[in-house]
Amino acid sequence: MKYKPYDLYELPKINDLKDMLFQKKKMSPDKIAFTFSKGKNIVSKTYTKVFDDVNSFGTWLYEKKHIGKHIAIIGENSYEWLMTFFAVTCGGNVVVPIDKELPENEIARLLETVDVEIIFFSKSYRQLVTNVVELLKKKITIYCMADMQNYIEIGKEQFTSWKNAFSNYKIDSKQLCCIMFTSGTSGNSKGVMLSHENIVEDINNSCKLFILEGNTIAVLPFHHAFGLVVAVLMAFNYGHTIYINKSLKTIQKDLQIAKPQTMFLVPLFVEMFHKQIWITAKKESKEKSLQRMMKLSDFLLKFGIDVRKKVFAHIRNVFGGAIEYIICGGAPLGIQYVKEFRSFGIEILNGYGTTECSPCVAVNRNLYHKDGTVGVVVPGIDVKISNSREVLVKGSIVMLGYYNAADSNKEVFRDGWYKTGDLGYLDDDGFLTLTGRCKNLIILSNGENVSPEELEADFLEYDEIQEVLVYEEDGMIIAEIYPNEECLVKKAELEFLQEHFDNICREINSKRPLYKQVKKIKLRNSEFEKNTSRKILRYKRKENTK
Amino acid sequence: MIEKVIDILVDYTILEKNNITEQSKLVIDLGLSSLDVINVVVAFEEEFDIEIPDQKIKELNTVGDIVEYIEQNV
Repeated sequence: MKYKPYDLYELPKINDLKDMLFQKKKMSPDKIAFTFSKGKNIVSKTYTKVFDDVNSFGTWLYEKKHIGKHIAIIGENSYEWLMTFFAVTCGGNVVVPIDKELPENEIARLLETVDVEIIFFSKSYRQLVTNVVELLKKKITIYCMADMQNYIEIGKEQFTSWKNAFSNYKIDSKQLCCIMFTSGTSGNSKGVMLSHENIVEDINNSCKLFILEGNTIAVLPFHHAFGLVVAVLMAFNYGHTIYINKSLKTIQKDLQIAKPQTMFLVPLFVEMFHKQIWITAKKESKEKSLQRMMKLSDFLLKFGIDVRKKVFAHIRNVFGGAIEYIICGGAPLGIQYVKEFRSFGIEILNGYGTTECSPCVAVNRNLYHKDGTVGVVVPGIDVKISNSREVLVKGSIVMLGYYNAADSNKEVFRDGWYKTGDLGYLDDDGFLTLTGRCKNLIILSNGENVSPEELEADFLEYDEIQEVLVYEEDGMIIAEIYPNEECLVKKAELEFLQEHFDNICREINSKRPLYKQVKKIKLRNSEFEKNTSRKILRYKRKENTK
Repeated sequence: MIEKVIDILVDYTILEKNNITEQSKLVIDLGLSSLDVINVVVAFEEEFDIEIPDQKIKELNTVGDIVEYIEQNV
C-alpha cells in the first residue's frame, strides 16, 4: 500500500447530463472539450460548441418528432457518436449503443429485443445497417451520422423562442436513459437499463475518488459502459480535453497528438503496450539494459530518489510523454504489469465495475492504492460480501433491471442488493479484492469452496507459465499448464518439465491452506481454446486435454 | 512476399520464423491478441504502402490471407 487514506475530491455536483453540459460550458466556455482528426486536420470543439451542437441537434430531433423513442447508435468512436448520445438522452429519448463488431443477425436480434425504432450509424457501417434493417420485421428510421453537420445547422435555424422544447425539456432522473448490452457470449447478452440517476450518480461519486489533472484519450469503444461513462463522461466532468481515437490503427499517432496525462484502458491494451516496449528494446538490443535500469530505479525509489521521468522518458514518449496514470478495468490485470509500469513511472490504478452498476463500483485512488486490489468502494453506495463470498451492491448506481427479462431480474436481485456474480472480499483498509466468478467456483466434497482464478493468478506470477487453468477432477484440484515456448525448448524432456512445474506447485501450495492446494499438475503442449476476447473457454478444456 | 510478411509477424509472436507458414492462424497459432493484429496491420500498411480498411481486418485470419490481400492491393 502507498500513502494513507485522504479526503475525497470535491467536484461540483451535477444533476443530470444536461446540467453537466451546461455547468462545463459556464465554467470553461473556451476550453477544448473534444479533439479528433479529420482527414489531415485536427479538429477541436470547445465546451461552448459542444453545448450548442447538442442543443441544435436535439432541436432537430424534436422537430422530427423523435420523442420518447429507443434510438440505437452504431459506429466507430467519433464526435458525432457523442453528439448523438447527448442529444438523444438530453431530450428524454433512450439511447441504445450497439457493438459494431457483432454479426448482422445478432445486431438485428438486439435491436428487436429492446424495441429500437431509429438508428444513427456512421458512414462505414451503412451496408451493415442496411442489411440489419432488412432482417428486421418492423419499420426502422435510419440516419447517417456523416450528415450530422446538416442536422445541426437545420436545428440551429429551427431553434427559436417558440421552438425550444428540447432545451426546455427537464430530465426526470428516475427515467430510463440508456440500454447497454452485457458482453455475454452471442445469444445471451442482456439489455441493461440505466436511468439518468444511475449514470450521473456514478459520475458524481467516482469523481470523488480519482482526480484527472490533464488531457485524456478515448480509445475504448463507446458502446461499453467503461468506454463511455468513465472514459468520456467522467473525463468530461473534470473539464479537461478528450482526444477521440477513431481507429485503433492510429492509436500511436493519436497518442503523440493527445499527450494524455491519464488513459482509461482494459488489460488487453496494457499487455499490448508492454509487448511493444519489449519488442522495441529487443530490436535495439537494449533488453538487458532496460531491465538493469528498472532494478536500479526501483532501488533508488526506496530511498526517495525518483529518476523515472528522466530515465524512462523514451518509454513514456510511447504514450505521448505526459502519461502519469492508467485506470484499468473490465477484466483482471496481472500484478506484474502494475509493477513494471510503476518502474517506468506510470501508475496503473485498477478499478472494478459492471455495466449493471453504471459501471464503476471501486477504484484505486491516485495517492491511496493497494496492489492486487480493485481499490476502494465508490462513496455513496453500499457493497457487502455475502456468506458465499459474492460481491453485492446497493445504491443509486445499480441498474433499473434487464429490459424485458423478468427471470434474469429475479436471479440477480436479492432484498434490494444486486448480485454481481463476482467473488471477493473487503479488507480492513476498505480495499476490495476480487477472487473469481461465482459460476467458476469449485465446490469440493468437503464443502469447501475454491476459486480457480485465485489459484491461477499465483501460477501466472511465474514467467515460464504461458497459460493455466485450474479445475476439479475426481475430487482433486488440478492445474493444467501450458508452458511458454522458451521453457518448452529449454526443458525439452517432458520429465524435467514435469519436475520443474511440480516444484513450482509445491512452492505455491506452501502458502495456501490445505483445501486450497493443487494436488496435480498436468502439462499440455498447445494453447487452450479461447473466445474472441482471448479468454480461455473453461468448458472446452476436457476436449483439448492431451 | 511471404518472407517480408513473416519478418514483420515474427516481432509479435513467440514463434520462431521457421515455424510460421502461410497456413498459420494469426490468433490461434501465432498467439496474437486482437490489438496485436491491428499493430501488424499498421506495420504492413507502412511497409507495403497500402491501406487495409478496419472492416477488412477481421477477415484476415491466416498469414496466407494477409499475403493474398497485399498481393491484390499493392
